Amino acid sequence: MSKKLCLTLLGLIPIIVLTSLLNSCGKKSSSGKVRLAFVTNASADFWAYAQAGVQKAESEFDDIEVEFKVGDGTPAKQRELVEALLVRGVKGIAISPTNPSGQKEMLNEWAEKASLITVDSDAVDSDRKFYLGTDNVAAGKKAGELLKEALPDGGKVMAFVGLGDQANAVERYQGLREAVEGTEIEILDLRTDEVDFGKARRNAEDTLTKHPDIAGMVGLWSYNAPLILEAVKDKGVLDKVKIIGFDEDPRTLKAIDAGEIHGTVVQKPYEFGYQAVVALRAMVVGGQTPKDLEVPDTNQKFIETLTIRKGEGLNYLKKCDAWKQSISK
Amino acid sequence: MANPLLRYAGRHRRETGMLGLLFILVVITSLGTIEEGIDGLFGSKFLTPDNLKNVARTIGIYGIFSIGVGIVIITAGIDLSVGSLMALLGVFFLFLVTPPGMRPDSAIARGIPEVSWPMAVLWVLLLGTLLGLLHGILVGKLKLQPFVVTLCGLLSYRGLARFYANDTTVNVGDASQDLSFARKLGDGTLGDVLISDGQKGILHSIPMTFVYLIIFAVITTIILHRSVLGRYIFAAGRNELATKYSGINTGLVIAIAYLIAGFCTAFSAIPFCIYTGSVQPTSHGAFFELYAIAAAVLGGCSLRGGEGSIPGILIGTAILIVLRNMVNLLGYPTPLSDAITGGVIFVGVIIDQHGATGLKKLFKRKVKAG
Repeated sequence: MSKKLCLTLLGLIPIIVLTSLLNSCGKKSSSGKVRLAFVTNASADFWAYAQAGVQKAESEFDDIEVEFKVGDGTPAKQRELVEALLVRGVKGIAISPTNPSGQKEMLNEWAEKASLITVDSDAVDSDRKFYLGTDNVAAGKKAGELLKEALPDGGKVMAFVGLGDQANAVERYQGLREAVEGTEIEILDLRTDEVDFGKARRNAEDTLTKHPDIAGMVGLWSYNAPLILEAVKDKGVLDKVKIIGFDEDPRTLKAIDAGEIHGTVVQKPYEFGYQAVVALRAMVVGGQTPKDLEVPDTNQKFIETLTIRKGEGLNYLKKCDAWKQSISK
Repeated sequence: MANPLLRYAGRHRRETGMLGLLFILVVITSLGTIEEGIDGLFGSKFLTPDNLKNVARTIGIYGIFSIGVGIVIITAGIDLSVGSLMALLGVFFLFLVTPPGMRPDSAIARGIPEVSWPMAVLWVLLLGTLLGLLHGILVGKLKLQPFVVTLCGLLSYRGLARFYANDTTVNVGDASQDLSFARKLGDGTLGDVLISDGQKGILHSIPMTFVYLIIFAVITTIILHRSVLGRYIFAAGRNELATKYSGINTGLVIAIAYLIAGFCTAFSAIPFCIYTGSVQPTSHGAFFELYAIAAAVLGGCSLRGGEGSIPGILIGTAILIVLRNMVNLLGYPTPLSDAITGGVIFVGVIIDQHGATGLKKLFKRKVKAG
């Protein structure tokens, strides 16, 4: 045998090793179990907590097998993932659509082949069974309550978010405004940063420069509050400006206990994951309807948010870490 | 019977090798997804009509723009603008079919008139071809480096798409005209178009994008492997100066290659935007240029130019898509998908570089023995 031929055969070895390795780590289907799936819009810590909930629910029932699939922020990837899941015989899918209005056609197509629910972001006029997630207007109101606590004498407030036209941004901002209506608190505007962290920080800095009398700053998306904090610290006005955040960014939680951020409103992704799987199982295995599952007639089931104030931040952070640790890959 | 086949394989050893790799992947995936009570061939989920349709549809979309990029690579060029161009053309297409009032609130978006979808398709093809020609003139006539020219395209087309769309998502569903036939042509199957939709049968398992790919493959094979222009393209890629001194207008030849690439990208942009149902300008088609380059290189195109073939590019595309399908069907963690793709390309290229001569000898020996 020639030397080059040996090389060719040697080259085949990595392929064989790779595939056998992959075969051992890929989940083999155990027959008889009903397959369910949870598909995220993108990768984030938020979804890691949801995954912990999914796995908890999976472990409680011995007749289901749940796949957790992570999207890359595009509808194309979600379509690729879900089509493969359907081919594999998945009977129930919980999905957080990346672009609910544009994905209506594909959601309807999938809803014909499996029980489909939307999680975290809803496609209202699609054929999904129901929506499970946060009531963002109510969450915005909770942030408004925090703001009233922090600024009993009122003052000027600026709000910050990534994309101003996303449903949860619109709704949170609306709730925030509704909550402070009739008080001395004046909400100046909503600044957007297109999810560019540098721009998010510059927005906060420019606000401090332009409005030296600013009393409060609200970050509507998870990364906003920590970046606002950086800008406020840099300017040395920590004692004058109250910050309210959203979600459970570790920097936000630590700053809350340090007294630098007044508070944050957190969603319950763990519950999203847990309840989604329980509901899918009830529908697919138990043959129940959303009505049996106490879903209101609006077909939207809201999961209450939680307000975190000083003294609760680090405890919540520990809980988040515990969720992450509990995930078995 | 075996001898001509083997002789063909010996002459096209790169393609043959990659076909072997594709075959291995198909066998692994088929065997790995066998389960009882599945209506696919041998009870394998990979071989169910639904899955084969999904795979063929994706190969169709990716294959068409990969052919374009492959031809450019054969001229010793590169096209990095594919993904961004798809985003720009996707936004443009959806603007054209949507009433101005439903578009994002920017002067340019609102200024474009609404036209019927066949007209919109023609406009998109024209714009894509013109931008391809622009690349071609810049590279072929003005002698700018293709990497730089198309890198500028990569940045500016996506930037323009985001700007025109006000950084918001544009939806196919916003169109008020009836797009059901356009949907069938873009996302449906041959059966949906010719008979009626929603049925089962062989024609209903052949996606339209795959039909387009076959048409593109036949035409480009004739251009590249059976025409004078094709010989010029290979010659310009192998040694531009020598080709020029033999009296061939290499600038024109190279410009035509980029023009073809622009047309191919524009053509695949339309079914792809119907496939996703919307165009999110920040992420639509991201990294597609790299998939195309990977497909071309896997299929035997040399980045130094002068080498490659249409069948090779198709096999390269099929390998990439089957790999992704394999990752999904076998239930591997999604984040591993890209790592596996990278690994297989790497192994494939190593075998190609260092094992090709070995393979050739193996074939020679068999031919003699036969």
